[in-house]
Amino acid sequence: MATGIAGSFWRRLRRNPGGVFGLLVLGLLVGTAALADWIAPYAPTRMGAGHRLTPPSLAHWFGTDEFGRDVLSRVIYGSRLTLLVGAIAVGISLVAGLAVGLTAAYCGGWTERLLMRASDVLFSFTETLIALACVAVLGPSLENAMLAVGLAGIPFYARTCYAAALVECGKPYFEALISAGAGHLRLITLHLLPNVLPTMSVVATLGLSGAVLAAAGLSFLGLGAQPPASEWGAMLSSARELINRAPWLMLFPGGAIALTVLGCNLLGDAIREAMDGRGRT
Amino acid sequence: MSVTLLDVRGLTIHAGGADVVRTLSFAVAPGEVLALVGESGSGKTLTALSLLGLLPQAARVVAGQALFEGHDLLRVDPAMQSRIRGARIGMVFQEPMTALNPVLTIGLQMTEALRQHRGLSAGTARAEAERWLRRVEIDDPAARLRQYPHQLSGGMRQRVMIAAAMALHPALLVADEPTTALDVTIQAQVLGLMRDLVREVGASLLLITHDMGVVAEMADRVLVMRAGEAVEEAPVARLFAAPRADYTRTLLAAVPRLDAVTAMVPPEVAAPLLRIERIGKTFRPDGLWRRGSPVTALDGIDLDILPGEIVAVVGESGSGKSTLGRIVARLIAPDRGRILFRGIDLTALSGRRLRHARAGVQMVFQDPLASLDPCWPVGRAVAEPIVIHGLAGRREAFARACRLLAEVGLPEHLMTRLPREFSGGQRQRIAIARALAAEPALLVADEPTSALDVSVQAQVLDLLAALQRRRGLSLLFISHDIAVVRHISHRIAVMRAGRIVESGPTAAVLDGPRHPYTRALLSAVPVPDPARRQRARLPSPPLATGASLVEVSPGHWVREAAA
Amino acid sequence: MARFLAGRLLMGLLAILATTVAVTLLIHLVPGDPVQIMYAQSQGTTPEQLAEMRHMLGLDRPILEQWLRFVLHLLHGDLGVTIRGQQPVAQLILQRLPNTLALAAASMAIATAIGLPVGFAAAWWRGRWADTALMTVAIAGVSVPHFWLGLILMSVFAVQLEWLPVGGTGWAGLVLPAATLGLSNAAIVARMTRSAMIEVMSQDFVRTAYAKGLLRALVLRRHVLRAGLVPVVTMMAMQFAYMMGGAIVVENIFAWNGIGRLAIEAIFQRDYPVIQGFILVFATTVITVSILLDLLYAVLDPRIRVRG
Repeated sequence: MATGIAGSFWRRLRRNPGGVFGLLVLGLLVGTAALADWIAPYAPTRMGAGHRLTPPSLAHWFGTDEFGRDVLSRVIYGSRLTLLVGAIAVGISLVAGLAVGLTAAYCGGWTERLLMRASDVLFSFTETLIALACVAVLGPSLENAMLAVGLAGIPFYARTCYAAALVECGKPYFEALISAGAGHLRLITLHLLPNVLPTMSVVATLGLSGAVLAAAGLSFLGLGAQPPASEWGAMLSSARELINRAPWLMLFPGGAIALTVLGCNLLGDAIREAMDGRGRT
Repeated sequence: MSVTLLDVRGLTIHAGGADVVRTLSFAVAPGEVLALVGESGSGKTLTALSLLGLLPQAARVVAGQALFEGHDLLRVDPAMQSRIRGARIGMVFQEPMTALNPVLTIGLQMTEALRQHRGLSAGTARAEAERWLRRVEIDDPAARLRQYPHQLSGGMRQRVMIAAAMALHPALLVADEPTTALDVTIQAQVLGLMRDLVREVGASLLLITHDMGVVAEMADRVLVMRAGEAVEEAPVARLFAAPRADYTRTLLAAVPRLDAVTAMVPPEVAAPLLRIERIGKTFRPDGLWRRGSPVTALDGIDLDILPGEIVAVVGESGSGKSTLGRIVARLIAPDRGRILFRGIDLTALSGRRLRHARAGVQMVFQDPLASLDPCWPVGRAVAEPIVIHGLAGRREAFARACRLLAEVGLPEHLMTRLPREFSGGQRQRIAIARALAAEPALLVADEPTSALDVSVQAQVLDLLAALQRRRGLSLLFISHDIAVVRHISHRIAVMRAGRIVESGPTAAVLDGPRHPYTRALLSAVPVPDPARRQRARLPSPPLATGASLVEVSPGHWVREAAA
Repeated sequence: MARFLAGRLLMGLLAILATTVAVTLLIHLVPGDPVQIMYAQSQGTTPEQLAEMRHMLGLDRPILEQWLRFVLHLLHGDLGVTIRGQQPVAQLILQRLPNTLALAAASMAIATAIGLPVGFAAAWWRGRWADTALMTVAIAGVSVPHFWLGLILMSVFAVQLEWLPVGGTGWAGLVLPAATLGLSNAAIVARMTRSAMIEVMSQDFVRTAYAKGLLRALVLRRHVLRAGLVPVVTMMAMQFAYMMGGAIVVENIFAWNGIGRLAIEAIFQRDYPVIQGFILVFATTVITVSILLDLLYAVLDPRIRVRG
């Protein structure tokens, strides 16, 4: 159907070096997560795979930690957790945010005011606080961290979706459709949603980076992934204890987080730019 | 040389991978008004911007020269350019709303150029600014200087821009569509003001416009542009009387003329298709704090539309005409009164019954760009109303959509394209086809051609007229442009501040206007005939309240002046 | 303007009120019995002791009454007592709040001092290599987790070079945490400033200013900067909220004695009164600063300050 636009969108994206880099990084992440069993040299939880706290060497490219576990393997397996947490958290935020934002923009009136005010109030609490509160209530665990980050992101997604949807609702074609007798469901799912998705896809891509950061942060504090999970944030947390004896331990998990986040940010920016070009007629 | 002030030769501007202006040459003599006229895409605005070195980043000059007072404007160094800009060549832009900095006072924005170019002190500059504000007929200039742009109306802002430009005594004033965003009556005043000021100061005026009427009113000479090239250049009288180029002839023919002969005679049917009864609508400020006062958009409107009739509603901004159209299409609900469509009260319906009744009244909007869902192929979009109302199954609906598109002049193979791939005029046709899909009896068209080029405008109007004749539709045509409705409508209603001040058969109202506002409106409309330039412009009468409508001749109603 | 501010103030108060409601409900959202969880670590408690504790915390009353009690106590400055040592929560928090505020303020100063000029320069030289270079650094900065940056800075400056203390108190102890947060956020500030400035510079009134023949420096100073202040101030409010959130983690890394550190300890100890107090104080701080910045915004934007 719209191969013309999809085609030009891809072309623009490919031309953007940041976009290409971002796609590669994401590809690397997914690939690592999928093929972890084959590419990791050791099992991530295998203690005594090497001597304790050895710096990077040929046998252990990233060195070993305080239990003798191979850091490279742990980082590789950590990609699974990162991907899982990121995807689920963004999924929660996106679905809930779309629901709230679309409803508010479409319904108008008191519904709109109520939803958006509530969203504003929650937004002012900052995502960190909401995530913390969720974990405080539910207890520290990776699943709860996922949920917490997902819930914390809803106000931002809702506001962005609302703003984009509002623009669409104000356009003449929308009124023309109402005038033509279109029902609520048709308007929201067939017309509002497709027009809002481009903006929201940028938000989701950039949001993925935020979710990864937030979840890693929670794990770093000890409120997310619990040992012996090889989650990157948790690895940083233990690296902190050993900052005197093994300063290299913090490089690799932190670097992995930074690389993932960088990739998502670059990709998100590239998508936004590719879409802006498309919008110009 | 004192014969030409500005001598442009072989100007070529490159943008977006193509030459948007090609080897353009023209000259402006001291004290003369040259109009640069063309439709969208003709390159006229870029030409003007290039003279001042204000081209956007995406465009650049690749060839040519622009000689002005011994300098080549296209190659002058930045220091000289700053000295020329404002002080020797002034510019007035199209959008008064955005041309002024919202966080700085009017006074500051008027005096800063004065102080830089003429080295005046703050006090002297302010006094000078005041003098010029008074000259452009802005009341209480001293207070205005302390105000901010958002506190002034669009017309006032444009006057401020003109005053600010002229206060520097430039030799040349470049005005890019200076009145396009203004109401007709304001436009007439501002244009007149510009012409007087330019003459007073002894400056030349390079006027960029798409409106042939404005050209006839203002210009000494005219340069017609098309797709970046000069088509024809001539003194204004000759151009209008005996245009040489085909394009010029087409352009002139497409311009709607107020003094054309109306061939439309209202039908003789008795029962109205649509009856608007005492409709009133007041907009209250929104939100928890009720900031601002309520605005009465409509105050007791009565109007009938007969089957097969075209009724035009004209008015300036704030007259309420758009609100009326949207109430008829049931997009907003009125506060008072009712709408009877085929005898059924539309305003009392809701839910499913409303949706069903809606099919009878469809709407066509002003902005062709936003009138279609950008994600939907046009064939599907046109078929949608058919599917919604269950008038046919999916395949049959597509077939019908195909026929509708053919009816509006679009070939079948374009059905799967997206709106972005069509021009403005084509999109408007698609929007009309979609409106017809639900098989309405009444079409409400809200400024359907205002956003289109003149030549395209004529085509779309002809299309509407043809459709109306063929299908026996009624049409409620809303416009601010009286000339446009002249030859298309049977009856006309003139609105002002939420009320109808005059209504009746088009010929009767336009040939013999009785209400002073109608007369003022008609006298202000630019006429594409230079010979009529010096006619009197009647002032708008003060707003009258509480008066009633009086029938001065069969079907011709006029609102009385206040007792 | 008065109306605008009154509106904002009311919204702020409502937000704080909503926070108290949320905080009251929070305990009841805990899966299982909150009182039991709170005392899970203590030496064996009898059901009677648990019931007594429940009664003392008011958890056996209807929720509406709980909320009213909470608000009433709040107005007296009483936020309850900690589960462990029965210390007044309000006192604990207020002792540490100034430290967190100092950290947030210092970080914001650093972030603004670096981010604003960088963002502005990138916008000014838009499309040229300077812009690309600066924004590449910025996006890298945004991607680096602030807790990782903190660890690196600690490792380099405190452990290896021993120029600064690892943590603790005082001005010396503030440097690393503030640098961590400040540098992290400088990248965000730079990016947002750049897009805000590009937006302003593409406005019509800038073109008008040039058309009048005004010199570049003047257009920049008077038109662009002045109009750009408005979106920048809006951005500041968001930045402050970010700082407060980031402070929680950074305080943990550097053992900076602020409310963030208190909160994390309380979460581990399941000390709900402290958690409740923390949430309330945190939210109130963010809301208050946001209102103050709105005041600044109203002063800067004539469209709000002066009626149209």
